[in-house]
Amino acid sequence: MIIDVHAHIWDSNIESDKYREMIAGCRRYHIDRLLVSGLIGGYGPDHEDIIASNEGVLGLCRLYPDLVRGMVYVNPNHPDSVEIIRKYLSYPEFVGIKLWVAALCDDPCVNPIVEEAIRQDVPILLHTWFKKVGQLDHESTAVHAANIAKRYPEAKFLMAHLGGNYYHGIKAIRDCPNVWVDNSGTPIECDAMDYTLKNVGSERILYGTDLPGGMLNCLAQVDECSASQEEKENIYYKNALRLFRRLK
Amino acid sequence: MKKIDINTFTGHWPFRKVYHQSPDSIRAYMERDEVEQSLISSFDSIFYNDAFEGDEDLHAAIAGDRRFRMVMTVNPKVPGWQKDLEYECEHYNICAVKVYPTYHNYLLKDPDFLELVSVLEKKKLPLMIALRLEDPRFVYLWSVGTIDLNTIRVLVGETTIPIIMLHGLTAEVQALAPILDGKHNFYVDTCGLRYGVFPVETLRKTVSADSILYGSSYPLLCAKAASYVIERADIPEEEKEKMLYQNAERVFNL
Repeated sequence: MIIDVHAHIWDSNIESDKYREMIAGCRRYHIDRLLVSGLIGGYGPDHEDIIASNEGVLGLCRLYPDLVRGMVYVNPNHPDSVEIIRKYLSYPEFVGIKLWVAALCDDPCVNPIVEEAIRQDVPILLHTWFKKVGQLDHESTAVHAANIAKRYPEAKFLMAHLGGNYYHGIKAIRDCPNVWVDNSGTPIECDAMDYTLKNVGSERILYGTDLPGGMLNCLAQVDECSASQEEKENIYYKNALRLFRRLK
Repeated sequence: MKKIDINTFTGHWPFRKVYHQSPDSIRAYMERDEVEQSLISSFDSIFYNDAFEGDEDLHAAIAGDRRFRMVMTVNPKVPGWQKDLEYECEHYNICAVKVYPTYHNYLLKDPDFLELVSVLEKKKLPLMIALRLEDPRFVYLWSVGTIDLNTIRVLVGETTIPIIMLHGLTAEVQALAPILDGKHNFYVDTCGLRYGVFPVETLRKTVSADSILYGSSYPLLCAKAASYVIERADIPEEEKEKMLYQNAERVFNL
C-alpha cells in the first residue's frame, strides 16, 4: 500500500489534463490514497481563493472517491479560518489542515488554527523550506515548525519537504515528537532519506510527492534508501494511517 | 534491461557527507541496478586547482575495472590542460571531457573554452556540460551561476562533436527540444527530469528518443530517480533500450 500525503491543485479546473495525468500517475504507480490541498490564489489568497481551493478539492474527492482525500487550506490572516476548518472537516473526505506561505507557522495568528486541529484530532501539514536563494517573506522554516510544535505539544504537525534543506530542517525538529516529515518536493539527493532516517527514525517519515509537480523522484528516494522493508512500509503508508486518524 | 550510466562520480564532495562516494559504492550501485558500465569522473577534479591531480587519483581507483570508462574533468581557465588532455587520452583511455562552467566561472563563448572545443573536435571526443550539480536553493557556503541555454544552442550549431547537457531540468530540456531531434549532435541525460508525472513521455512529444541518455549523477543524486523515468515510462521497449544504453554506445564509441 502507498499513501501520498502531499499533492495540490492550483486551479479550479479539476477535470483538466493536468489533474487527469496526476490521477493516471497514481493509478500506474499503485498509489492507494492521495491527500490533496488546493493552493489557489498565490502566496496571499483571499477569502474567495480559499473557498475555491477547498471546493476544488472536495470536487476532486468526489470524482475519485477511492483515491483522493482532502486537506483544508486556510489563510491564517483571515478571521474566519476556524470557521472554514469546521465547515470542511464536517465532510468525511477531509482528513487534515494545510498551511502554506501566507503567514509564518509560528505567528500568533496560527494559534486558533492549531487549537481547532487539537480539538478535531487532525494533523496540520506545514510547508517549510530553507533556501539559499528565493526565500519568501512568510515562508516557514523548520525552526518555525519547531516553535509551534513546542508551543502546542498535544498538536500533530507534518513538516513538508524534509524542511526543504534537510540539513537545516531535520535537526531543528529532531526533538519534537509531535512533528513528522514528508519527502515531497525535495532535491533528489539519494542521501536525504538516509540522513532523515538516522536522525528521526522511520516512524516519523511519510511518503509525499508535491504532485502534480513530481512523482517518480519521490518514489525513487524511498526505494533507494537504506531502510528495511518494514521501515519502508512505515514510510509508504503505516505512519500516514497512524497520523491521519480520519483516513480510511 | 542493460544500462549504461553516463554520469557517475567518485571522490570527495566538499559540502556534505556523500554516503556512497567510494568506487566500491559505485560498483555496489551498478550491481544492484544492473548497470553494465559507468562513465565516471571525479568530484576532486572539480574542486582542486589542478584537475589533473584528481584525475590521477580517479584513474588509480578504477584501474583495471572494465566496467568503468573515465571522463576527464577540464577547467579551461587553468593553463596546461592541453598537455594533460594528451596524457589522459594516451594513458587513461578517456571517452569524454566534462566541464563545469558555473563552478569554474566562465561563459560558453570564452576563448579558452572555445579552444577546448576546437581540440576536442580534432580528437573527436564528446563534451559533457554540467548545467549544475545541486539545486541552487540548497547550495551551501557559496552560490553558483547559471548557463544561458541560448549559448548551448549556439555551441551545438557551431561544432561537430557530440555535446551532452547534464542535469538539465525538464523545462530546460523542453526549451532545447528543437535541437534534440536526433539530427543535431546534442544530447541530454535524465538526472534532472524530476518535474512532471510522466516526464519522458511528455518530452517524447518533442524530443527524439535518440537524444536522451541515462545519466544519474550518482552518488550525488538518487540513481533510481534517473532510471525510473525511462524504465517506468509508457514508451516502446526499443526506445527504452536506446535511452538506457544504445545511444551511449554510439555517442561514446563504447
